[in-house]
Amino acid sequence: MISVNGISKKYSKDSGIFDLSFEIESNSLALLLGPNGAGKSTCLKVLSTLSKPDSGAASMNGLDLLNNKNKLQEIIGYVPELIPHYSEFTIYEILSFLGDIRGIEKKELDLRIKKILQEFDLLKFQHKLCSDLSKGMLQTVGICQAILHKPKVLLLDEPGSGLDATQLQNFIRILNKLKKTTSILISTHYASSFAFLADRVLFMKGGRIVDTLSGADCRKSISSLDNLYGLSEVANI
Amino acid sequence: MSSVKSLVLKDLFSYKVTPVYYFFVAAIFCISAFIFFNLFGSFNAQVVEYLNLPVRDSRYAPNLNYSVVSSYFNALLFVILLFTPFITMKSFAGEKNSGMLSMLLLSKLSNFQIVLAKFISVLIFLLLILFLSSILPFSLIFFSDIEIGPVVTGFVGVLIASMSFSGIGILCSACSKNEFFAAITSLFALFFFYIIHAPAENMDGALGSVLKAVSPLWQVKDFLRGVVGFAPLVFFISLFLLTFSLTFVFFQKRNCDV
Repeated sequence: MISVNGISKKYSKDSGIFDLSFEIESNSLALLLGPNGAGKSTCLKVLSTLSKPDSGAASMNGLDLLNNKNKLQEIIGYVPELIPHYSEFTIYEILSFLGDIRGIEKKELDLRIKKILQEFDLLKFQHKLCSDLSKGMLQTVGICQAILHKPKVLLLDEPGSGLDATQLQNFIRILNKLKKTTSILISTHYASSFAFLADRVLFMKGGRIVDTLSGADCRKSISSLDNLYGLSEVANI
Repeated sequence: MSSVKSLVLKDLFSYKVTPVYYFFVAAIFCISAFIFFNLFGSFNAQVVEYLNLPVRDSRYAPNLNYSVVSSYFNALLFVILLFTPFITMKSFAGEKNSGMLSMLLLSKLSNFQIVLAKFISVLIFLLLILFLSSILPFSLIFFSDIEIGPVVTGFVGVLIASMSFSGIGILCSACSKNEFFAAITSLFALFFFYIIHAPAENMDGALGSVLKAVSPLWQVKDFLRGVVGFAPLVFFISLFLLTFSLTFVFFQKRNCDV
């Protein structure tokens, strides 16, 4: 379960997140929707423990954000908007390195990497350099690294960007599977890709949550609207 | 500690697969070999000149240790100083640039371990370069009646001075997001330390003493002459520890918001 109480992180007077409060049930998927600059990425960064909030409190799976940083890092999988990578590493090498520093045992790590790459249909590209990967493939590698250590909370910042139809379909299938054991929070501009998986949708604007919808309500709105901006307008009405 | 080992190996692997580092190693080796053979050539000329003297005074006989080894290590120190910023620039700035710093921070590695791993990998790489560059002076042991002491202390002197240089380089990398900016900043910082030596030599009084005390070139002098002084040893170890601590403090402070 993700519980956020009055979290604020200010970069300037009108940039950042302000007094965010929401709850996401265990083993469910929530979407953070909003236009650019709404504060979605900042919210995920704060929850990932990479950015310290100015005020407020949050907890994930009962672990407090400020006091249990190390324990939280073990249960969090985070995919930033720009996928971090070493261009001189192959897909296998980068996953192996990230697994190593996450403390996964070598034998187990090898098995997990093979399994994940197979699931994402990347096994045949495992020895390809990251610098030679397309945006979509790099995005997929980013998702692979985030689930390598079997996190209990998955924070995904624009995970759909760059994925082609097949990759997105595959990713959604995996998300659906992960949802059974993981709390997932996805920030995105486009609701349509993930809406039918969502249990909850949070609309952000100007660093604040302006509305929340249940997954079912969101899906109803989606059917009448083509894109997120339509949805966010609905939220403002 | 296995996570530290992984990060060290990753950095060393990056050196291994990045062509520019091969260039650095080759350039340092070629420049140092050029310097060595130049010094050796001029030593030979001095010997011929000395042997042609009608009256020879052994006090003025050319000395291989002084003419070649000491001068070589002195020059090598300058070469290392020029290349160190380009070896250390990627340490932290590279991680920030690639976005991988956030992954390191989310790993099992503590901030101290990340800084430690960065220092270890740079030091291993520098050690490799120093070993390669020291083959030539050490080879003199087998082909001449050179004193071994100054060769060994010269190597140790350059090694500990390089350690502190790398500390300054890594600190600059930790302070910057841009690799190139990190390299230029540390080059300026190291060059500043290097040229402090010039006024220090001609200055008396308190200011002269202070300049001498902070000049790595002044401090390393004894080592190059074959003397292991306690004060220079303390100076270089302190400088190294200071840069390590500052890197750690800066990294700790900065990484709150990557």
